[in-house]
This record gives sequence, C-alpha cells and structure tokens, in this order.
Amino acid sequence: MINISLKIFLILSFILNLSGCKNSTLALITNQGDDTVSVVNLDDLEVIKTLQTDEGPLGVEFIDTNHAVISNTKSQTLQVINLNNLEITNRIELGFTPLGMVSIKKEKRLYVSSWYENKIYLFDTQSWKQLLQIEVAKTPSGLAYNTKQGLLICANRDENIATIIKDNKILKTIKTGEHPFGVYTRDDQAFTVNVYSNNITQIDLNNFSSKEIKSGSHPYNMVIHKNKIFITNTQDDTLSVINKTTQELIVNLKTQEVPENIGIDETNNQLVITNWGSNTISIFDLNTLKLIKHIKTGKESRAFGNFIWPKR
Amino acid sequence: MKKLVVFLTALFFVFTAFAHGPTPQKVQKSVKIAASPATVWAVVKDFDNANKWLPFVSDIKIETKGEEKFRTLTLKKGGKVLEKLKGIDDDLMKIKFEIVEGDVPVADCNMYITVTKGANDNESEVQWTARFYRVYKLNPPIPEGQDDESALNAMNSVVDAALPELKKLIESQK
Repeated sequence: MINISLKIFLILSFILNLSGCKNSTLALITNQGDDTVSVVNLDDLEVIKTLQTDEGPLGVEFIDTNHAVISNTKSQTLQVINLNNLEITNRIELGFTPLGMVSIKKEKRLYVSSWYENKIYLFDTQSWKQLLQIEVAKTPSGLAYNTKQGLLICANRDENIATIIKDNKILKTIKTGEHPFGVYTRDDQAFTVNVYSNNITQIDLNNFSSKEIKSGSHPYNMVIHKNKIFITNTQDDTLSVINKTTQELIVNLKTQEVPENIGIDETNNQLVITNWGSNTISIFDLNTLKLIKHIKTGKESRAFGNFIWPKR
Repeated sequence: MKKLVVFLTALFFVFTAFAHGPTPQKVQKSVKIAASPATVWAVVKDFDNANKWLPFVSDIKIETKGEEKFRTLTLKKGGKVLEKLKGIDDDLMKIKFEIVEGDVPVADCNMYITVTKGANDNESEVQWTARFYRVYKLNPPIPEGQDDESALNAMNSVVDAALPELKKLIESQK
C-alpha cells in the first residue's frame, strides 16, 4: 500500500515538476564567476535548476514565448535556453564580445552590443543570421527598445552619450552623465544609468531634451513601476526608491552586497535584484517595499537585461 | 612570500582610473579568528592603523579633506597606493574603501571587509571582498601585466598576505 502511494506521489511530483517551469514566473540569473545560469522560480522563491554555460555569461533577454538568450562575454557566444525544459538548445559563435541585448519579438530580431567594436549587431532569432551592423560610439553597453516610438537606445559608456537609433540608423546622440551603462525605457522616455556621476539621465523621446536625477553611489541599472523609479547603487549596497514626479528620494532600501541589476515580477508583485558581491538575489515586495528573501545563486550574479519571464 | 613577490613585481604597471574592460574581477576570501567579533571589528575598522596587519606596507600616512579621509600606503618594495575610506558601518561591522591611485595593476578597485560571528562567541570570520577591473580596456593584444590575470594576481596577493597577518595580530593579543 505504501509502495503504491509512494509511486503515485512520485508520478504526480514528476508531472508537477515538468509543468512547473511552464506555469511559473522565472528569473534567469547569469553568474559570471562560475559560468552558470541559476533558474529561479519566483512563485516559490527557489532555485529550480542551474545550467552550465559558456564562459562569462552576462546579458539576458527573451526572444519569444519559449526561448531566452544569454550573452557570454569571454566565450564570445550567445546561448539559447528553452524555457519549457530549461535546457540550452542552441549556441551562436559571434567573434565579438557581446554585452547588452534587446529583442523585438514580433519581428524575430535581436540587437546585440559589441563592446570593443563600437557596434551593434542585428540578428534574426530564427536563422541566427547576422542581418546588419550599426556603428555607434565607444563601448556600447546597455540597450533598450521603445516600441511606441520605434527607437533603439544604446548607452556608450566611455563617451558619456546615448545613441538613439531609428530604422537602424543613428537619429540622435544625447549627452548623458558620466559612464552610462544601464538603459531603460518606458512611455515616451528613456533613461541611462551613469556609474561615475551618481545619477540617471532622463531623455524625452519626443523632443530629445534631457535632465539628470540623483542616485546613490555607482548606480548600475533601474526600473520604473507606477510612479516610482528604482535604482541599484553598487557602492552603497542600496536600492534608491525615487518619486518620479518630484524626483525626490523616498527611501534607500538595503540590499546585499554590490547590487547590479533589477527586474520587476508583475505576477507576484516583486522586485528582484542581483547582488554581485554576495552571490545572491534579493526579493522585495513591490507594494510595501519590505524585504521578502535573499536567495543564493551562483558566483557573481549579474543578469544584465530583461531577466524575468512572467507566467504564461 | 612568493605571492607577495608576484604582487610587488606587478607594481611596475601604473593604475589608470578610467580604463577597464567589461568584466569586473572579484577576490573574496575569509579567515576565522579566535576572538570575539567586537575585538576583531575594533582592529578591522581602524583605517588609520591598518599597517599593523598589512605586511607589505612600510608606512601609512593619513589625510583628511573636508569629511573625506585618505591613507597613503608606502610599499616595502617601493611605490605607493592612495586609498579613500568610503564608510564604516558599526552595525554591519563593515568597512569600505577604494584605491584612488597607486602602483597596483588594477582599475576602479572597490573593497569591503566584514566581520561576522563565528561558531561561538569567541570566534569571528573576517571576509575581504575586492571588485576591480584590469588596466587595459581595448581589444587584444593586451599588454603584459595589464590583463585580467595580472589584476587578479595582484589583488589575491594583497588579501592572501593580509588576512593571516590580521589573524596572527589579534590572536597574539590575547
């Protein structure tokens, strides 16, 4: 009798486990220090799988409802992760050091910034054929795509500018703060996060005017939820929460060590922050701003880009 | 000693504040010390007198500019390193500092040291973490001594030399 119950339990567990990833909100955390991706189930707040990758995984992006892609800086490759079985299913040799990525899912396109070459490459995400290259300024890092305006925004870290691209041609370059790295866009605005000047640059995508908003020390990336701006401050071990209208600091939340990247889990109303120094991610309640949990990942957790995949 | 020699050899290469590649490097090491966290923290937080347990330092000079505090470490084999204190948190038992400039083949080097309670009241763990970049930021070929490995070797040597000395100093005080 016990045996039969055990078997039923095991079969049920197996089925639940298999369907688990398809029906869960996932975070894909690239761990640059041990060449892995930690797959975190954000409903249960647990690491459900660790994938061995090529060397130096950094960027993350989702290319369609079933696939994510990571950029490996040291191996100079992209790797595709199947979100249903959580296996790596494809590997693309690039011949350049990839950093930021952003996809246009409807068009099956992926932009990848090439750090040393001052270029952005465009790929077809089905054939993985390289379609074109766009020459930008030095050290292109973060990329974001504003769907409403059809604009690609690129931070050029060593030239302190953001490049605004339309139809794969440079439309405008905008002066930012010092050392822009992360990029974010929402509505008619784009933002660069400026590591050395301890601020973010807000760019109006209609008239291209810009202004700076103060952050903590060595900010790295940001997100916006409703009327709040959230910025990770790598040298303060904090997350600045800023009122978007008044641009005043609401509170600095304590993270773990060297918080780098940040994403919003809309399904569970959570903020997810990767802590490079502690090898963890921190989960905060988006409404109460209270810490929920720190979760251990691989070494040097980074997850640069869109790393949260909502429940389907 | 061998590691120290590697570190000191690497001092020929000049630190450049604005040049680094895309991948931050990390050194994170810890040591267990047979003393209470309060005892250990009192030594670790003493930014002005760290030469007591930094065996490669022959002299330390403290300067304050407004609210900011700096220390210049003179290295036994020649060369200097200027460091800035970035914060002392007594609640977390964490001290943060950065290399402003100096004869170390790293760029943008930020460090923090924490003290935590060990297995019992008389045991502590000290963890030193450094985040930094190599000196050379462009495409290969990378000049000798300016690559990731040189930066890592240098910082590993610092931490490997310092932590046992800190342990020895505190445990011999008892």
